[in-house]
Amino acid sequence: MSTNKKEKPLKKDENTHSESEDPYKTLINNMLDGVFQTDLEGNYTLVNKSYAEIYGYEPEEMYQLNTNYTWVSQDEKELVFKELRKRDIKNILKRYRRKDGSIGWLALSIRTKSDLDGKPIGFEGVARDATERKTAEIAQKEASERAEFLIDIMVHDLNNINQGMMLTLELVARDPDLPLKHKKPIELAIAQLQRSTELIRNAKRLQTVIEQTIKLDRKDVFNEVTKAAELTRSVFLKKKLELKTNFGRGETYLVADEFLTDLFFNLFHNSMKFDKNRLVKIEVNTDISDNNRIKITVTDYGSGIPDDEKMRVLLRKRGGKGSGMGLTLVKYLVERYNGTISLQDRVQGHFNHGTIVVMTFPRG
Amino acid sequence: MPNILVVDDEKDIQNLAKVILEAESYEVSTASNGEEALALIEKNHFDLILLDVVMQHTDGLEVCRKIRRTKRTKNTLVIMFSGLGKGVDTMLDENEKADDYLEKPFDRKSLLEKVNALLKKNR
Repeated sequence: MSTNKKEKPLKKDENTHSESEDPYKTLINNMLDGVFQTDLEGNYTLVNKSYAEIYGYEPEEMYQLNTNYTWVSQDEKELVFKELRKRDIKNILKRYRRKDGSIGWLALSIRTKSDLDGKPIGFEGVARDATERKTAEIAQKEASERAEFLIDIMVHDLNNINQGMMLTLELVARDPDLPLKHKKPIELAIAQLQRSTELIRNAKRLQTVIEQTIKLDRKDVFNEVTKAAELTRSVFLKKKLELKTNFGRGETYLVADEFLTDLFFNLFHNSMKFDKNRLVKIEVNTDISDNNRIKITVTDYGSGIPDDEKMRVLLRKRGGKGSGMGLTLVKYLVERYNGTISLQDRVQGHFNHGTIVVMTFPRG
Repeated sequence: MPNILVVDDEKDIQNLAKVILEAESYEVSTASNGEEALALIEKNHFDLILLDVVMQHTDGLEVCRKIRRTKRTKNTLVIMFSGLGKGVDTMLDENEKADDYLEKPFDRKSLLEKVNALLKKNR
């Protein structure tokens, strides 16, 4: 330890040593992380400066303290020590009480200290103040919960408002005395309501996907494509979806999650929506790409996407034009599964002959 | 003619559904919340109940649970509607769930298709 008489003693009841005599003690005393030891009853037997500073004490003050004062919750303490009987504990976050009575968060690693015969004689560990980090985490969690709550309210209320408008407009449209010149505007209004519904659904779905913890599993692509096709058919009752694939059940797998169906559903939905024909053909093909990834293409024969729109439709930014958000959700999901996505013309140079969505994924 | 109860805390949706269903010659009653619905169900026989999920105090899930747990009404047809679609009643046991679902906003055609299909199946 330091020979400077103004330096605080490192260890309880121990004589000071010069730095050259005990570089180990100097190292511990100068560490930025807090270091401590206690006896089995929780009385401090060793603290360094950093540890004392975390709590707002001088080191010698801590030797008068028992750790009971610094634990905020007895339940928390019992849980930790119960676990400590089985193993060393690394990097847990726990609350602690400072000298001024305020509460903070501590990142703590602690182990049981034993004598040469293996008999427990106390505890020792390393600690660091984690209050700022934990406060930021809590704030973020609360902000996220608030956002989710507000979105839920909006989705519910907007859906109710749209419901009222939808049925009203439909009833008006069915009035046999309605002049012909009013039918078209009403049909346009209904179409706008359907767009609004789709946007609300996709925004909510995207929020759900973002909030959900990612848990990836092996998924049979054929099953997901089939489910997505059925869902699409149930939405477009006046159209017929003809789906072709070059693979069958059990042949192609991806590492994905429950939202893989959403990925294909949104692609099929787009194809159905923008194809003027009653019979809509979509092909889903799989292949192995040059760099040994799975390549999945979804091809339609619809009105296509102009070149300057191809990037924009995949990325909907705040304030940007565009609607639906379906392809934004697709792109988000592709990236969630460590994939890539791009759009091509089905017939090169002729965007209005249909689109190929090209995706590659790691092999599942 | 079949007797239908429409339960929704939005008066406009109640009235619009009533107009649509009465045009198909159904007899329609309405309720604005879960308590009102349960009071009507206790006194009357309904062949089918259209049930909104999100309502104050007693929500649609609780109403459905009570319908299924009452001997007299346990086989009453129930169509649940909400903005959440089929996933809306995952917290109900299998024998407490609705018979079908309508995602809001539904159009006239979807409403009639679901109602007609269920009532036809039940005859």
